[in-house]
Amino acid sequence: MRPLDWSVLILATVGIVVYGVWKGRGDRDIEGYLLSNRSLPWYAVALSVMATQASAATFLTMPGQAYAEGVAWVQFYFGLPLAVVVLSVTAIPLYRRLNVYTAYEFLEERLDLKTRALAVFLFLIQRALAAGLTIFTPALVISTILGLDILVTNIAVGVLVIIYTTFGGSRAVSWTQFHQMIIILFGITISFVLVVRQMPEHVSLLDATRLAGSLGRLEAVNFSFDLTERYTIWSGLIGGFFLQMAYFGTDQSQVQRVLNARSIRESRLGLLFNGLVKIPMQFFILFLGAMVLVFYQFVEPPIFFNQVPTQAVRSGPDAAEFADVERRYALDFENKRGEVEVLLQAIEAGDDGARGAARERVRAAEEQMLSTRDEGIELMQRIDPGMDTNDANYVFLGWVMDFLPTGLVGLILAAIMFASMSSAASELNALASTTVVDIYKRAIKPEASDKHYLLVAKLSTVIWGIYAIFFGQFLSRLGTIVVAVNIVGSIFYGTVLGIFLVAFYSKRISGTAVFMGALIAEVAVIACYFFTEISFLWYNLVGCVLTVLVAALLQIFLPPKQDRGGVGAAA
Amino acid sequence: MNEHPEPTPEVDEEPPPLGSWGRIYAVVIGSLGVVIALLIWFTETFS
Repeated sequence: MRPLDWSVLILATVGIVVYGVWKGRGDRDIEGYLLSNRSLPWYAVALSVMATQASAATFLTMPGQAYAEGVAWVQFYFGLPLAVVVLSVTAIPLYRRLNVYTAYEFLEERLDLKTRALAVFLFLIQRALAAGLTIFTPALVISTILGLDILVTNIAVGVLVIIYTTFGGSRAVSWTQFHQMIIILFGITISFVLVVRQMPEHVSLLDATRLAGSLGRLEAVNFSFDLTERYTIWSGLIGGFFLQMAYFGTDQSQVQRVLNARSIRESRLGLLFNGLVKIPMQFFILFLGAMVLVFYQFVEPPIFFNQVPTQAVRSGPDAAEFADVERRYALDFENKRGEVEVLLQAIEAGDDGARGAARERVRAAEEQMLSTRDEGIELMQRIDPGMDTNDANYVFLGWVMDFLPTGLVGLILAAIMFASMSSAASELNALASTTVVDIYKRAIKPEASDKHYLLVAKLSTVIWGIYAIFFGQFLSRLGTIVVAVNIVGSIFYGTVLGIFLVAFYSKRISGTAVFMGALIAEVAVIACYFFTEISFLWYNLVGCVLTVLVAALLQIFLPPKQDRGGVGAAA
Repeated sequence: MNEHPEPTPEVDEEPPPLGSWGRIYAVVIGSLGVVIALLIWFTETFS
């Protein structure tokens, strides 16, 4: 990477850390530290919520996924607008009126301590795993691209987040996210403009879109009822609705962002804004990936976008064999490129018959290229049998490094780091809040000064941050387990949402019934994971519905719930 | 820091931008319908 890119990257990341520390400098009590004294306007909440949900996957995995498989992932977000409307009507006014610091305080108010403890336990397991992954994923990719040790990038990303989250608290997290998100959106937009401009002169945006469609990458909506298909309109609307309800309504990393708002109105507007823009934004990012694919129809892509195994095989004992594979791959590409030009002419002529025939030839040529590519990957596996053969995370960044002008490369790298840092900052902030409010204050030291709790909150942030760095480093040795960790959220979310739904809407079901219902539901969800092929989005529905139903059934055999008073049903 | 903070009494807040929350919810849900319709059109047109 060139010096100007390094300068932009370092300036942007150090700048955001200094800004974060400066922004949170006035908060000397626990409410200021954990909730910014509930002072944020809706637009800051909106971008903070958006930045919390955005992670390195936004920049790395999504364009890579669209490149390899298409834009179907957008359906994952279909349930989001419905979820934020329901939460705006129900959960937000309730949390705000109760003046809670964490979502889990509400559970003890409505149900009992053990149900609160269960929800806290599930949150800590899930978020602690996610925090390590949030830092690790971009650290791994950036370390590979820049040729740095994973330990260096992992620690760099982690320490930067720890500094401003610890010193600045929730206010620093929210306001840095506001600016980080603006840079992220700018990075995505400029990347899109440049990839379209870098197409050959005779390829317009419309041509490129038709080409991407012909290559099978623009099937945004799938009406299949097959439960094993990961992304369909039904899994997105139904499973996604339950997932997003759980994420925005019960996950402290998001609830805390919304509680930072200065009023119920600002909380609602911040959340609803995401309901309005999230799907178009995610589609735009996926579409960017599809455009990168079209770009690589005219410029030869590398056999494998992760250059580390490529370089290893080039300098290893199979170098000659790999050179032969590379030569045949280049010929395959030239052949495919010729077919792509024919397809393009058919598209421009509006000749459907010729277009269909050309499309089949392009797909056959693509199959040939992929087959040659597989031979190259097999040679790489001879050197490292445990290597990750999926290079989707490296596609977008590979294009950035090879084709973007100096300065912008540093900016895009900064945006990728910001996507990770913003998400990790919310996670550390939420883990610290839950540790202080739901564990330390509730179970260890109930009576202490505000100053004492503030100190414990800062200490918790540092400890969780160090844990996330170490866990990330541990992940780097496990490889494929990362995929399993990604699904952990959906394994727990449905059950937690079920607990909250009972707390929101039922005055009859007791804490004991919910607690037992949640345990049974969790066992069922874990069984779904191990023994069925059902797509993970459906786990949210299964966990939630089972928790509510089993709790309602058990309540028939249990003593009636005692009136805990003070809290009415949700508005 | 109160473990069991007193519920905050309802206060009069500024009205939402379109005059009522119902209208805003309708806009969000309506936009979902429009976006899905556009994506279906997009899929059928370009795939």
